[in-house]
Amino acid sequence: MDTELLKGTLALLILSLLSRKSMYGYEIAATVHRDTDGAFTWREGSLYPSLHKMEADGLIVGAWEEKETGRKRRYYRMTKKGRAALEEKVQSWAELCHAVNRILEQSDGQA
Amino acid sequence: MDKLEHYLDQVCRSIGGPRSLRQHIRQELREHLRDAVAEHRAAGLSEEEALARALADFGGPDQVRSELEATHGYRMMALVIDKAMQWKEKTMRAKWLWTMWAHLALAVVIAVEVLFIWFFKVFFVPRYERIMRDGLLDLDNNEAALSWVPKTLHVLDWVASHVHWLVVALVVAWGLFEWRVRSDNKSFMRLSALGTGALGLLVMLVLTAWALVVPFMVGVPGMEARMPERTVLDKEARIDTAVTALEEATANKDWEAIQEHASQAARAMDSLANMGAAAPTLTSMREQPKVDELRSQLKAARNWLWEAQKASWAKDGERLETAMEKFRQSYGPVRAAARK
Repeated sequence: MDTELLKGTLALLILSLLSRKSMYGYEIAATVHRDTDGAFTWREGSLYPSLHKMEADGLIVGAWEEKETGRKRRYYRMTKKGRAALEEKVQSWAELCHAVNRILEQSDGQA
Repeated sequence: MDKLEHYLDQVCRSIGGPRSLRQHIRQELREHLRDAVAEHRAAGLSEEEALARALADFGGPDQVRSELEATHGYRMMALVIDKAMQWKEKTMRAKWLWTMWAHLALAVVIAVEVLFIWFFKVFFVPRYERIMRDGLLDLDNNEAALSWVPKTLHVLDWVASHVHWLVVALVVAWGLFEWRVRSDNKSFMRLSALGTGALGLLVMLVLTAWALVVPFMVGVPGMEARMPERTVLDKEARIDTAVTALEEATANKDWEAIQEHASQAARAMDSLANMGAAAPTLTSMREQPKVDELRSQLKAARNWLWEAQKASWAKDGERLETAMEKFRQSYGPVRAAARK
């Protein structure tokens, strides 16, 4: 899938995943890969600048947790502001999909 | 995992904000990559392959760093160091730059050395030769030790008089070298030749300067102590010798000898006429006994002041008073002559 399209939807995907449960960076990347059957081919390093930006904007908060294995992971969870932002983004995405679909349906058969 | 830490260095070192933030980001990225490596290992890859795959999936360090810098800002110092390192890498590889710089620096050194030697030859050596010819420096006891001085100046004179042939020889040798020599080390050979030339000129420059300075260091103290009568008599003897020879040559109508002795006589006369102390010395020589007496009184006054100095060191008041009294007696006639 086009990575430029993914860039625009990365915040929506992250917020959507975090609405399910708290997750750490690798878990988010692995979940996206698994749930989309690898449709998104992206640089995993791009995830962290987005996470940090959303944290700075107050949409999510991160906290370090130490596991039994001794490894520390930074878990992110969504804030109230993040939930509101997710609803707004879902709405925008639905409108965008609807608008794009209408264009595609009207153009169907003419190509 | 050195490769992993090196990668994290590249990504995190220039991220702005406090050190703790960089450490947190580094830790977070490290955990991600370790998870990715573990997953690839579980899929059957070797440790090295798994790490390479994880780093490739994560993205190039420059890209990840620039995205993190866009979020957190960047550290100016790290940026400057990175730029400096990049510049160093580029310039270290620029062999032509260093070679050109070395050639240029050596050429400038050689030019400055030649300029200095030329300056010595044109401005200082003639004056030095005139001073030596006039016998102004008293080198009586040191002439053997300073025998290298005229030889050095003679070499300089020879080089100066053959400089056009030397330049031609150098140009021909250089041309042959550039034309015939084919070697990877050609620029080093050229640099070696220039360096050797610069070293040789430096030795010549130091020897020339030394040859001009040392006789003065040796001769000036003796020049002050020398009695002016002796200088005047020496000059007068040189004039007499030259004039006698001139007269003999004139009688023989030997024009070559006439020219040589006329020149010698003129130089000797010029030397005596330019000597400021010549006239007073000649006047005082009419009353030589008085001059000798004054000299002995000067020496006595000097000796009594030395004695006064020793008495002051010994803190002996009586000895000091006696010495000062004797000094006044000796120095009185000198002071009276000076006031007259």
